[in-house]
Amino acid sequence: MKSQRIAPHLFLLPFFLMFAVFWIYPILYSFYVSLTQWDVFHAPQFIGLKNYVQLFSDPEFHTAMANTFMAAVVYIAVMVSLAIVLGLLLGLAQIRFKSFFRAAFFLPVTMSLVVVAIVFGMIFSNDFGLLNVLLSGLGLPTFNWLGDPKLALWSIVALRVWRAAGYYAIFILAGLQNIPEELYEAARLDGASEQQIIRKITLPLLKPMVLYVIIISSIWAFQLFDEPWVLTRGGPVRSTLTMMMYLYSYSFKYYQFGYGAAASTVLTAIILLFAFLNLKIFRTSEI
Amino acid sequence: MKKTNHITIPFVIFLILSLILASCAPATAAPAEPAAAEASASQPTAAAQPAAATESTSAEAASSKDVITVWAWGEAAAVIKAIKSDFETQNPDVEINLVEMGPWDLMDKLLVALSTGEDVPDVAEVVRRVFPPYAQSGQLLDLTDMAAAYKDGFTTGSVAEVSYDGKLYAMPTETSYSVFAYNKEIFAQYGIDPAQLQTWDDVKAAGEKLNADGIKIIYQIMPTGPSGSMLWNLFFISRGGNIFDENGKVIRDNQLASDTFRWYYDMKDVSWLSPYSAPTLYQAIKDGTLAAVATDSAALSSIKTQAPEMAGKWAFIPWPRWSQDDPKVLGRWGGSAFTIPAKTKHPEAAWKLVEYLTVTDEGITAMWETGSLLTSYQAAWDLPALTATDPFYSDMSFVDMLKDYEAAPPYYWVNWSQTQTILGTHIDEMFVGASTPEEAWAAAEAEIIAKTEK
Repeated sequence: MKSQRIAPHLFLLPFFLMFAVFWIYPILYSFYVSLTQWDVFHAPQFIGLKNYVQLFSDPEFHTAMANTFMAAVVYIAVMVSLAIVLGLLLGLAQIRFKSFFRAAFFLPVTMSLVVVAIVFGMIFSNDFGLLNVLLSGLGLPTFNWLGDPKLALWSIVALRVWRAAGYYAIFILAGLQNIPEELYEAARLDGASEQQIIRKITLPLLKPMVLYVIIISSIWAFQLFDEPWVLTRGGPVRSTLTMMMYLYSYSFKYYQFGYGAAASTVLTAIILLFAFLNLKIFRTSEI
Repeated sequence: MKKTNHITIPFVIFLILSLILASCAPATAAPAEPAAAEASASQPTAAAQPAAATESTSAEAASSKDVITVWAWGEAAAVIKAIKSDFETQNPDVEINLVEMGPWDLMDKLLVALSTGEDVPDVAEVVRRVFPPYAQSGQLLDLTDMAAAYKDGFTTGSVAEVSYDGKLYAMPTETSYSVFAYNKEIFAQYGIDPAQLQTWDDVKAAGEKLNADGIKIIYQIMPTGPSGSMLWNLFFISRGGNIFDENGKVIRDNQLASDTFRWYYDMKDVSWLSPYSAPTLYQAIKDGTLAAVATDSAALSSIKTQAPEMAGKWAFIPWPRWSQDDPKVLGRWGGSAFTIPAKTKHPEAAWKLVEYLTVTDEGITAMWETGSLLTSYQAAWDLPALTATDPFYSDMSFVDMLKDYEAAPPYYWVNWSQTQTILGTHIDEMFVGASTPEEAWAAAEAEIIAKTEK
């Protein structure tokens, strides 16, 4: 009897051992590193909370935090809305060539990020960029998309939305396909309009999938790195500097691993907070 | 419903912690810096390295050769491929196992390899300007004695950049000098005599002439970023400038740097502003929007590759001076070197390759002919391959032109990654009109002092 009680735990043990060694230990060690001064070549020196004090008094970190937060919020709002619209469109019975559209929407996320960033660098180019050529062709003013501190971050967010919206639309479509058809039939028999059906049936029942999309996409949104790294290196005037770029630079470029780990811990705390807020809002409200 | 939340919350915590914090664990690779920014070399996968090492080990056992693993990027990697056969014929006991990756990816991986002692290469190419922390790591082979015979043949400063505490930890490979190259047809069309472009004032006046028709005389990098600040620094070095003194301290109230910020800003109106390494730069060269470039000599090779139709239409002139009375001094972008980790199992074989690449006629010739990399070993600048004229640039010899210049004073690359990022930010600030050049330099200087604590 006793061995029967132990058996499941033994079966689970390998996973927990691996989890502890390869996940929990690095996480805890990373937190320990954040309390040290460490150049990676020499032994870390414990300095308590000094890295955190320095971090919160660094205007560069404030800029990185603000940029990351603004980019993440706008990206999530626009991207999720667009993904829902695309998902709903893909779910419409009237749409033909659905497989083609599904593949087309999914395509951007399969492309190498660096290649995408380089192509968008050409699209956003001030002199020969496709966007400015189109604008000037229409007689509209042109913009320095990546060279203007007021526009650069939003140009990068636009790139990210383009890349991710189709991918998450497939998730939304999967969520739509899980909604029982009988509910729609019943609503139609009761005389509900298409807008009412979307508002009262589709969106509420999509809530778990939307929540999943928001949480997953927000984790990646707060880790914005590759696109600004390739396109702008955080400039101009740090307008595209993100927290991931900040912690990467301090760790691997400036050899201040303790400081970089402190920035990483703060980023984690922010993402956790954001995720909990999402959970809380979605738990208590309707879309 | 409540039960679902109990599962969801730990799941979310797990997911977030896993994705973010684990990436900061010391033995975990950092986000790879895209190689496309500075090198066209193909990227090896992380898995490819152990595989290569395993293959190397078995090959080594089979042939009893010293198989040396070499990390290099772009042009130098192409050179190693080109010389591999000749080198291995000359050294039948050595076999080269080349691993290519981008320069910053390589520097990150080398940092991890040296600090953990795992997967350490036998030879690694390194970026000289960010080499000091590596030299101070105690994880590299001291090459002082092996290189003693060659030390005096290198260009001023290049040996100092790879030395620490009187010991040499790498062999300088190449140095990128400043070059002013121009489109002959456009200059002729606008009546600009290149021989008259003696100073930067002359260049600006010629630029204003071209600017009337929307043609630019140089390009500047915007957003500036680390690469754009290197371009500013190229001009600054040619002016004899330094941000740090020989003791590694920031020079206070650096008037020359402030003046160079002002000059760089004033050139903005006659410059073509472009992000670093943007393909559109070559489009501007091809369609004549950009009539000249003032940058580092690596551009000579890039223009040839990216705009081959311009062959014979471009030439270069000596690097302009800051005033008629100034000495003729070149700027430098930086350079690379080859280092040997102390944990190598084949120090002699590794040294043979480093010596071959950096100081032998064959290696230096291959560096120039295959990679357009000008050796830092100045004693070899008379080699026929280096002084040969280039049909693309109107049968001129870049190396011959360099011989007229005085060596620039030593440049002190202290905390350079951080310094160049700060410089880039404040150059951008003045470009977007957020501050005057003088204010921008003052802010840059203050921030460099605060951040580097120097």
